[in-house]
Amino acid sequence: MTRILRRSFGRRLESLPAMVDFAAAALAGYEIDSAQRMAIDFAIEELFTNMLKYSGSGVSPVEIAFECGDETVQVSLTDTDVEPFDVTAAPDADVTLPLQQRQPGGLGLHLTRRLVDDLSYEYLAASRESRIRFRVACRRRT
Amino acid sequence: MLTMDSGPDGSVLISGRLDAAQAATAQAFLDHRAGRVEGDCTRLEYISSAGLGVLLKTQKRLMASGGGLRLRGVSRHVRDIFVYSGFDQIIEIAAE
Repeated sequence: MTRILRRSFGRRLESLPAMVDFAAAALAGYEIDSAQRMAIDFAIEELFTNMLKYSGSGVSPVEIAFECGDETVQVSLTDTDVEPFDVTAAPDADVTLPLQQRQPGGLGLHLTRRLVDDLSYEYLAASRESRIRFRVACRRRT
Repeated sequence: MLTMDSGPDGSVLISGRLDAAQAATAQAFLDHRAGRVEGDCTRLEYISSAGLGVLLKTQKRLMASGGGLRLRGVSRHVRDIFVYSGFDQIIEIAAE
């Protein structure tokens, strides 16, 4: 059985602690280790801050939904009234550059792709909605 | 929640979550350190790309003046972030 939990968050960095609490509540019934929890929190933060950075025209809150199944958790972030920005098409960062050539930024999506099991993007033109989904395998406690 | 503090051995104790909301706080603390800086990450639970940006900026500044940043007590899941980002090649991370 799949349980769905949804909550909307204001478009500001100060929303991050509330997102962490929301994720903790959604995942309370799962056998989840620190690496899986890290992956989920990391992906949510990076995708959310990406929306703040690249969907500057948006004013609506960002909705986060957890679809909690028996073997997987799927998380979606939905941003309304924005232009499309396909996070799956963003290039990887060059993580082999020496220190002197490194610049802050560009690592969020690169790392997110490596931490989650799946990452997908869709844009609903009629409602101008960007929706990003990712999935992490984790087992519900019996 | 993030806490930055000075340890009894002069190290920087980094505790909690180094995320985008806390990056400015961490940067302000580290900007006051010079030379060889040891970061104790034993209680660092989480780091995001914004936190990596803080460490990168600090490492660049320290190394430009002959110093450098060394991290110890890094948990396995935080270490994964350093490895996937290549930060294990540009910042010294103590083996546990």
